[in-house]
Amino acid sequence: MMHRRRMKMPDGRLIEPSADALALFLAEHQLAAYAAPPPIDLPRDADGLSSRERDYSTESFDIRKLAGREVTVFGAGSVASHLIYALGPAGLSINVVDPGTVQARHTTGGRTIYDPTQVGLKKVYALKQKIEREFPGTIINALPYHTAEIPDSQIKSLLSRSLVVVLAIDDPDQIIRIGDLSYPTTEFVQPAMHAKGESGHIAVCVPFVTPCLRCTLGIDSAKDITRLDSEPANSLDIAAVAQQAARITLDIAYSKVTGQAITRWDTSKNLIYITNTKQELSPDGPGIRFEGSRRRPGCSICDNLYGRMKGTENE
Amino acid sequence: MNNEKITVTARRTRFEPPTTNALAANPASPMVLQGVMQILAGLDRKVDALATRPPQEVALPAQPKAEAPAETEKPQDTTALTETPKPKLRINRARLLSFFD
Repeated sequence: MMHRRRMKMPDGRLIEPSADALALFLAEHQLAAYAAPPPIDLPRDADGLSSRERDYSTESFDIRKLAGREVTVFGAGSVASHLIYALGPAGLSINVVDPGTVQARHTTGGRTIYDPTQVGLKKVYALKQKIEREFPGTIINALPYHTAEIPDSQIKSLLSRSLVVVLAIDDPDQIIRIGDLSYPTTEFVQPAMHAKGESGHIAVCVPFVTPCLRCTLGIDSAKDITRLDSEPANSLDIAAVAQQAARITLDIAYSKVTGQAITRWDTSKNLIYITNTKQELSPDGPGIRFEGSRRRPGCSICDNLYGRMKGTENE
Repeated sequence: MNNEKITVTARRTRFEPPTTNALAANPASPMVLQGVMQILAGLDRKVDALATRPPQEVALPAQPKAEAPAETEKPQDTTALTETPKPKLRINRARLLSFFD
């Protein structure tokens, strides 16, 4: 026999609570209101993604496939900061190496992506603050070191983990050093702005596909490079070159993740020249030009890689 | 002046006026008037018929085909032989070596 539970009222009476019709009705409908809606079986594509999950991706490019992948960017100056901002939506894990500090002049006129509240902060931390706030999912691994401080072994470790390396620094010695260390290991992209920002270039080096950075730029040593400090330039021109470099970086990363061939540009043409004005190569206005490079006979960097390849074939 | 030869036939007999219908010969007779009125009415019908006729298609006589002019030889473009082709513009790599980041 089941005993009904009694409830003591404030005046001392014991009452036997009875089921209230209204309470029962509300309880039932409350459950119904909070119940999860039945799942809608949306049509799924070959990758098992529904149209709701796919969002704005196209058949050839779904940016979410890059989420969590690692890339490394050397530099956090004007080109690098705009470039990293452009990479933001991809949700990458980005190692950023730069020892610099945000100064007031960096925050005016859109020269970089830093804002006046970040003056005095290390650039890599300012990037982390801004990018991780604006692009949830993207991770900035802030490395506030000068590239010269990092030994070769650690640089190689960083490179081997990265899908792509971006070399956006202006120290000639370190450009050559990172270029030489990267070439046999991973794909790298070297964007740079020329005098007054009237043009820029992106050198793309892909092991076994293109020559090394030295051959691409036609240089023998760091002495061949001239560094332009505090060069006046239109910030939009800097952002235009950075955007192109970011797009190429994503193309390479996407190709490595998905195995899908790059068809947007001819990958054998690894020197990309971007004009921001009317010039001899682009007489009608701003433009972009792709040009191939040749491996120079006797290049120790190229020969090292191709020699290794031949050795592997002979085995 | 009319150059036609005029022949005059001499009448050997006495002149007698020909017998004519007096009624018909009278220009003011009702028959003459009626005839004139009929002619006018006939003319009126013809004018109306001309005014309301459909446009006429004029069949032009077949014209002999004009012979195509004989092809003259085009003057040969000799500029390609005389002028050296412009070298393809290439990126001046020396200009890429002064840069900032």
